[in-house]
Amino acid sequence: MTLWRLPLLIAGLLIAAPACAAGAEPAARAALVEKLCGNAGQMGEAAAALSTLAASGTPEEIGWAAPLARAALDKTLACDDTGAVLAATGTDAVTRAPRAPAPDARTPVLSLKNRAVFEQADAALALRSAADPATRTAALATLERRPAALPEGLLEAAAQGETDPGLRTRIETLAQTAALNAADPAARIRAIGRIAEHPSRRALTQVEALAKDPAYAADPAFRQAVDAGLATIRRGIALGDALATLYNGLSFASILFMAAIGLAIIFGLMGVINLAQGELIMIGAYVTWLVQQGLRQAAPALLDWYLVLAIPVAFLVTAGIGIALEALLLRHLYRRPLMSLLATWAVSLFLVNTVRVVFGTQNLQFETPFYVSGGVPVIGDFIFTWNRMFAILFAAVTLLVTWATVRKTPLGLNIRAVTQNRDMAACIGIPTRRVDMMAFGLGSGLAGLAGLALSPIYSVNPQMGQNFIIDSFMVVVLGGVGTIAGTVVAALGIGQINVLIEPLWGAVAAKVIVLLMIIAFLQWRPEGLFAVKGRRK
Amino acid sequence: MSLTALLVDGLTVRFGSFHAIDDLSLAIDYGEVRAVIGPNGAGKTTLLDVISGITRPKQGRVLFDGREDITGRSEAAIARAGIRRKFQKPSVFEGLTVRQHIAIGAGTGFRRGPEGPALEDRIGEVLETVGLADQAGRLAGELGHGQKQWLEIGMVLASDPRVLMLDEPVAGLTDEETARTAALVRALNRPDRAIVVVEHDMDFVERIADKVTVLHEGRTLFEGPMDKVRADAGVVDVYLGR
Ligand SMILES: Nc1ncnc2c1ncn2[C@@H]1O[C@H](COP(=O)(O)OP(=O)(O)OP(=O)(O)O)[C@@H](O)[C@H]1O
Ligand SMILES: [Mg+2]
Repeated sequence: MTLWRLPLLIAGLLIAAPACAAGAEPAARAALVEKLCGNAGQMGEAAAALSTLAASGTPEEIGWAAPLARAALDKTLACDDTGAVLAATGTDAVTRAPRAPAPDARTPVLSLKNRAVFEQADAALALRSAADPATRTAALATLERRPAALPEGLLEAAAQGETDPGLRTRIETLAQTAALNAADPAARIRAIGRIAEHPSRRALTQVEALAKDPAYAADPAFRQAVDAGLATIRRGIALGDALATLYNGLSFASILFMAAIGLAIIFGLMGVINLAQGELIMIGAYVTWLVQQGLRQAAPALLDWYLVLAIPVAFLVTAGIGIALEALLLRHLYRRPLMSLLATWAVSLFLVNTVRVVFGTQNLQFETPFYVSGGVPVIGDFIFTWNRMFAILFAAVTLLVTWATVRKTPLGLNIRAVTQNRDMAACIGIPTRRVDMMAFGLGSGLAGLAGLALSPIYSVNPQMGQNFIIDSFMVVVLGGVGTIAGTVVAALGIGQINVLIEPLWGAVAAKVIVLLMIIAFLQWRPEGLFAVKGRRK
Repeated sequence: MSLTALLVDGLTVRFGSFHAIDDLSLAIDYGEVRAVIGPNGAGKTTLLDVISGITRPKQGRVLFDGREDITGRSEAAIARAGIRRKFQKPSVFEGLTVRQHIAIGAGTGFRRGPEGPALEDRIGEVLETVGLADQAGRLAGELGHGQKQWLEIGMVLASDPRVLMLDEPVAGLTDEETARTAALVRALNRPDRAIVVVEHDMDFVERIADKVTVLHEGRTLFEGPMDKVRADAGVVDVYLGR
């Protein structure tokens, strides 16, 4: 903060130097101080001059003017015959050379009206010169009270010099408001055009307020500008909302896909619906959290990378749980689908309650690393957020890796062979039980990765798995058993429909409607979107 | 190496109270093409199921290579021991290519099958043998019925098995395809390999078989060369005469 100001200050001094040399400036400064010590009218003029300095002065001038406004407000300005002294620092108000005030010095008193203008001048100067962002924020809050009275160019200049992005956005907004309420109708119309270029709900409120402005009824040009601006903003907001819904749907679909692809592989291979898949997602998220906590202890410098470092851990832990589940339980329930279903349900309850006992029921707190925080505002209120992008990219990579595993590796070849015809596969020597086990591990590991990917977006608690299992199951049924393409399309469809319906009729209605749609669809195509080529026994 | 590739000894398979195979014994030698015939439901497929480990027998055992007891082993273990079997119902993997069939048949993946150039050589060789060399890249689901049958033979052949069992390899084939299959089966015959063929087509059986076993209600009704089979009164009675 101070570092960048230093060169600016030097630059300011350099620019100011010729002015000083000309000798014009000390005179102007002395005149200003004299007005500060004058009557109420002169003091008002002084405040206006200070405000103007804040808007268009060099950094050096602003630095000079700032203590004056402050001193007037704090009643620490001691006026005497030779000018005035800043009591806080014990320096001359004009030259800033140390000196003591004369014994008969008096402190000017601000009228109620002048107090407001001095406050504004002080805030304007502080906004441009204070080193501490908190002070600048407070100054901005003061300025926001009376946007119409701000000196021209102040906010533009302040926005340009501002380093804090949040504060800059606020300054820019205030600049727009100020311009909208400016005295000059042409400036107002221009401001409307500028605001309409970046549609948002806030812009809408700002411009809508102008419809109540007297000028709206009186000035047809103004009225036309407001109406056109409103139309543009409304269109932008609608577009932004549509994009936001699509984007949210896409990120939800990504998580669904990652949860469902594992389910689909397992179901295709063994005819077992793994009801514990949702809990494997949950475990994946918890493992991610544990990695974060571990890093916090062991290597705080790497903390930001916990999401990346947790990838292999989450995969291996959940894959291990899946393999254990297959080897200890499902293997013994071979070709008894109902028993297998119940067994996986029991495991899901066991996992939920174990996690509940060990970690408690509250939501876990996750750090937000820089690569998943914030986003790029696109249009309207749609922000292209990085946390959702992370989930989407993650799912895309998972899709690619899964596809490559199933299509290009011997394991994948064996998985496909066993999926399509278990007896035949066994009779050409494929160790079907081992394929089952490894596929179960793969499917479970993918669920763990889903848990990792959703941790920056959704809340993580022991019950979270249940939010996903039903939807993932529907994705599998809709997509057709054991096909990657079907799973992708079905996840996209169900994810989007869910997100579309939810704001209209609520989450429960969304689930019910999606379920009804799937039932209707399966009447028409019982084998799902993409029928797997092969026969099951 | 013993002379007997497969020895089936006192085998009984029951489905509930129904005896699909009833105290059946038979021996199949290396270098032999054995046909197993019999009316529908005679237990031919069930016999192959037991040998390949899909069905567990109630009694009896199956010895491979004269001494290795394979009863009760898993399908994959039996397959890896060198016994391969083509199913009666069409059993190609429709989503895999012809080449991939031969590759998994040859044992890529988990087992120490051939890899790299050796695998490619083996695939090429097998595809040549079964006459599908020009179809290597196609999906099995797109093949004609006859080609599927040959693909299945190629798949079980790929690992160079000691015992090759084919369940109805010419069912539904044209005469010309049947003739080609017969030539193929004869070409696969080797001194260190036993081939078992289950078939209803008598002309086909006559062309390929060294010896014929006639099953009836889970028991051996007759065993001998084809011309003797045709002459046997009992066989004519239960099977050919129908
Ligand atoms: N899993 C089973 N459960 C109950 N009965 C079975 C089973 N498998 C076969 N069978 C019965 O066992 C008998 C023998 O069947 P198998 O398939 O061995 O006959 P097959 O000789 O191959 O006949 P086909 O010429 O029709 O193929 C049949 O009556 C069949 O219905
Ligand atoms: Mg049969």
